[in-house]
Amino acid sequence: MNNNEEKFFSYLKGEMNLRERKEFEDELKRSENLNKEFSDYKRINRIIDETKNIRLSKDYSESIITKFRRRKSSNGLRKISQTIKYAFASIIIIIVGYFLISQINKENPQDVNSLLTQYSDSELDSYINDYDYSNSLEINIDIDAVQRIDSLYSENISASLIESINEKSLIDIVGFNSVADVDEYLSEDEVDLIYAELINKEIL
Amino acid sequence: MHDLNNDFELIKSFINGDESAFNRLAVKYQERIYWHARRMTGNHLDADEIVQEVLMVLYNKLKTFEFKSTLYTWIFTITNTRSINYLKKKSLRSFFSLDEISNRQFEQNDVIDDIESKQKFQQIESALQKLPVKQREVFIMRNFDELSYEEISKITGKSIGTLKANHFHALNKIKEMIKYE
Repeated sequence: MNNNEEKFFSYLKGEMNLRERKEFEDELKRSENLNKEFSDYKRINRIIDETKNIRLSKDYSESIITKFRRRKSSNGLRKISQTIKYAFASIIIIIVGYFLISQINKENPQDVNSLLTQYSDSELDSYINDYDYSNSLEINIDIDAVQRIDSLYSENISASLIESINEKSLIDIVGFNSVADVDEYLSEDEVDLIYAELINKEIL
Repeated sequence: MHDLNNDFELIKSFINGDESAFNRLAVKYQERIYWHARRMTGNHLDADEIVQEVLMVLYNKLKTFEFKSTLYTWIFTITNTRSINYLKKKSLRSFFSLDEISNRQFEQNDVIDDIESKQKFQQIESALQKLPVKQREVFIMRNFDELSYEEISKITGKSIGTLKANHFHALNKIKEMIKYE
């Protein structure tokens, strides 16, 4: 890439010193190709120079700053209204999101009741033995369903206690919630049986 | 030096709340901003938009100007960057056919009063628009703004070697396009 452009540029812009100018002019005299290249460069440079200092029309020139001031004041208003819009949209999103999340967490009582009828008592037993599940059910379902669950729970406790009595496993009996509450789940005969065993074992 | 002092005084006045100081700065540099944007983008509407954007940037950022370069160099760098961004956006829009480019090509240059000047300008503008952006950029800065390669390198962030190569190709293409004038 033979690039004489810098020499041409410097020469035409008067950036060369006297010695450099003389050397360049001598080179031009010696080389026809350099001369032609320089002529082409000068031609382009002349066209560029003619367009370089074109002035804008007075009307347009005067309108630039006016337009800028107008735009600046409308930008200020636009920013304020945009901020308000974003704030409003954020509030709406938060409210809708909160509403949706609370709806998802809140189980439909009717659905839970229909769920209870879908399962057999033994299947429900297994759910009831899971404390967390039964606790959340109790919060979200109606009284009838609560009573049904309670009755299933009582039956479950009662069955487990009776099994323990039959096997004479007193520790299992004592392990149920509170000893004082145990007799809520047992018949009078079953309670007598427990006391008899306790006396027999000289615990009481 | 006088010009530097003048710019400094105007900026100082503006920072102290004198809005008319900003107006005077804007009037001083608006034509140079416009013409650089116009030569880069090839049309009045885009150049006009760039002028407004550059003035907005100046208005917001002038308080942070530290005089590490001249004010003109700083303004010029902003103008050049905005112009390049505009061209990138324009090329994306034309790719998705979102812009009516053909209409813009026939836009009247009514910001130029003199008819002869208008014709000469159209000739060079048409040739510039046929150059790839990176060649156009260096050609304009070198020949219209008369910047050295070192100065162009600082503004564009490109190496001097790359700039010289791009300018070499740009000049050859322009010579070819304006061959028979």
